[in-house]
Amino acid sequence: MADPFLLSHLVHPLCFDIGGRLAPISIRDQMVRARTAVDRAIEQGLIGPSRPLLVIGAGAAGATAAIRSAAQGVSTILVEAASGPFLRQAGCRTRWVDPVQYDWPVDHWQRRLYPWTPPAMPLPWSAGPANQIALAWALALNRARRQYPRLQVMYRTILVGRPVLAPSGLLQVRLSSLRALPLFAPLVGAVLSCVGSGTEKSTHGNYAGFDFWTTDPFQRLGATDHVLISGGGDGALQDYLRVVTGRKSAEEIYAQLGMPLAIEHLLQCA
Amino acid sequence: MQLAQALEVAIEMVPREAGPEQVLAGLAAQSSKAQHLDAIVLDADERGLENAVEWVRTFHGEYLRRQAVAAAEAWENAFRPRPSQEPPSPPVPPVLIVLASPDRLNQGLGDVEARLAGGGAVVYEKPSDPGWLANIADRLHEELTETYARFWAAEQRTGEWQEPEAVHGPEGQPDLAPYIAPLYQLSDEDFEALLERGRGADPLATGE
Repeated sequence: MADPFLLSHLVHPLCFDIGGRLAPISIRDQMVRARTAVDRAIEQGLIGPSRPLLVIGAGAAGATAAIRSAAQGVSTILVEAASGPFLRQAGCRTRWVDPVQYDWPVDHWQRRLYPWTPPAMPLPWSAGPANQIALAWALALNRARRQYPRLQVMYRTILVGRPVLAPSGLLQVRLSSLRALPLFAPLVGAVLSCVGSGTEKSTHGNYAGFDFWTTDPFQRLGATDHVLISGGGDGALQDYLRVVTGRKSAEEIYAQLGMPLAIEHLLQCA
Repeated sequence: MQLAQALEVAIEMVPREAGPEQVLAGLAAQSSKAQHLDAIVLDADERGLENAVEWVRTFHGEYLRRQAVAAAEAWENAFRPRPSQEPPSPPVPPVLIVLASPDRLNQGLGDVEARLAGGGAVVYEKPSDPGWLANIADRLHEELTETYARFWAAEQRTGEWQEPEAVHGPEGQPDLAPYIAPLYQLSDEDFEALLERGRGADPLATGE
């Protein structure tokens, strides 16, 4: 019986998109979606020991999917157009990224980490500035590359054209290096696109916001500057917090005040 | 990976005058002795931001070129439906951390960071304390430890961190029919848009 999760992400024969086409989506949900896609693809026999997986995009979802797949004995290739993984977070010093931001008042909210119970996800994540998280994830991805020889990572590489279904039931894909290396055309069991939401920049009419994953543009405000913050999402709330307090997160403020998380929890309950 | 292993991180500072090729040669020598570095740290203030961007671009460009040549056979083999043998593991590049003082970084409103990240580096603010640089590996290790502190506590509390459980495929040949049917597939136009997004890591950000 066909798997409804996989069918809902099918975009081409044996190609699945779990990325930004379905945005907005939290990083944590990207990870869950990636792991689920890999597990279901194995259960359905779309990938396995003789059916490799091609993952596009070395962000949180792509790295999760690739490590998960390789850990299950599937030959896995992870391609990324940039020269390294976690592009958005790696260059961002000012965004505080918390895996359980929206989970209050569930107990694990106070622990600010993910996953909060076994089984382990490939990229362990504790709340913090985006660039620190990117470093921890990049180290974890490299560890996985050493641990699983079947995990191959190709940076500066893109998928060219639509994959073609071969009579063998495998997909012929074409990969091109942006450094003009010879075209690589492996046969794979499935393709998983994990390309995300880009810089997450909002535009409303004449108003254009700043990229979410960029340096804080409000660090150098003068006393006479005015800022319009539109929206009530996490980006807008973080901007508001930083403009008003100069701190990156509520957690930083609590830490500066020496306030235990339990008190923070009580405040939230109130 | 056990989380305890995440805290065993080998980090070194890039020597002040060292160029990318020199560092790559050192890494190759280490790799031949089955040693590896997890991360290297480049001080952008020493070189200037533009030079640091160029350093990162050259480092990863040259590394990827060498890796592509060296690993071509491994890639081909890994993607045969039935690999002839367990493919050799190509060397893994260390994570490149670029340190720069906040004053310099803040001048470009994220432009430099985007170019450095697009070039494959993780950008860090350089603390004002000069003692920080002298013990860079220890300090970053401390920071990683702090980042993982809650995790670490949770792991010790539960004492049951597990390796990934095995997922099993079907017996016999898979039924591919539902996954090659045209019902759910994107139009040519939408699929092109999808491909375009996959190319959208902005090569311009790395100046190529």
